[in-house]
Amino acid sequence: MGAVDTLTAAVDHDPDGTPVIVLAGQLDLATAEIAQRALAKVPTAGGAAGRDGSAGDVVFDMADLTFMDSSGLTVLLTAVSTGHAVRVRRPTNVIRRIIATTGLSEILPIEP
Amino acid sequence: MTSAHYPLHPASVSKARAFVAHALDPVPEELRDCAVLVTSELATNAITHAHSAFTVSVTLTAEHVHLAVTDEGGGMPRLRDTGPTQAHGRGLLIVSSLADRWGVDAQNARTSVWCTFAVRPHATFDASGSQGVPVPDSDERS
Repeated sequence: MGAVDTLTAAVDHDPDGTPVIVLAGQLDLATAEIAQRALAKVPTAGGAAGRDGSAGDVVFDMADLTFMDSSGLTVLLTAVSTGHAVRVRRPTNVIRRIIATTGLSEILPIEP
Repeated sequence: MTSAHYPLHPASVSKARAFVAHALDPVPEELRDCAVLVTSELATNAITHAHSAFTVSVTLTAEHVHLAVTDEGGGMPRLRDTGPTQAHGRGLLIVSSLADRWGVDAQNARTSVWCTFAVRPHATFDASGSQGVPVPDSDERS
């Protein structure tokens, strides 16, 4: 049997209070629910970041995410659809290419 | 050619990836990463759209990698127009942009989505010019 696919998703915060979902492992059909549950813990309104009616910023830190496919895009776009301004931090080159090739570079901006 | 069969289960997706990564151990890492990603998309489609177990086959020659994922769902996958923030439907878009050629063979109740990658020693992720081959007469998978 192949390697067991695992994902961990922890909610952290930047020094300025921005929620950061720290992903590690592999994000695919089997593990997307783990990331969705972490996203659900991030407040969508009423917090300090919730100005001008948006749900505030949320960062997905992918430094330790070794694999992601379109199931991961679904998670990121769920965050967008709930009103978050999403940023993708430290993705692999393959993940950068997935975002670029699907035309999502503008709504899923990447930071180094 | 080497092939492996996987049950209708979400965990099959990562197992299929591991199988392809192992089969493509000799090829450059960037090409292997592309093939593994495409495998993940096609395996996900077999499970979520065809609701089927599936078989992954890999053929490696000096010039090409040929990859096929065959399910028993009997439907036809299609490249969809997705809205800017629509959450689903980008799997085949990724396949078509990464593979040099791709297509669908439907026979009896089996649907096989295949693709090929050229083995280029200096291929990079920034290389442009890969084009998917449109699938003629494709219908929405039922």
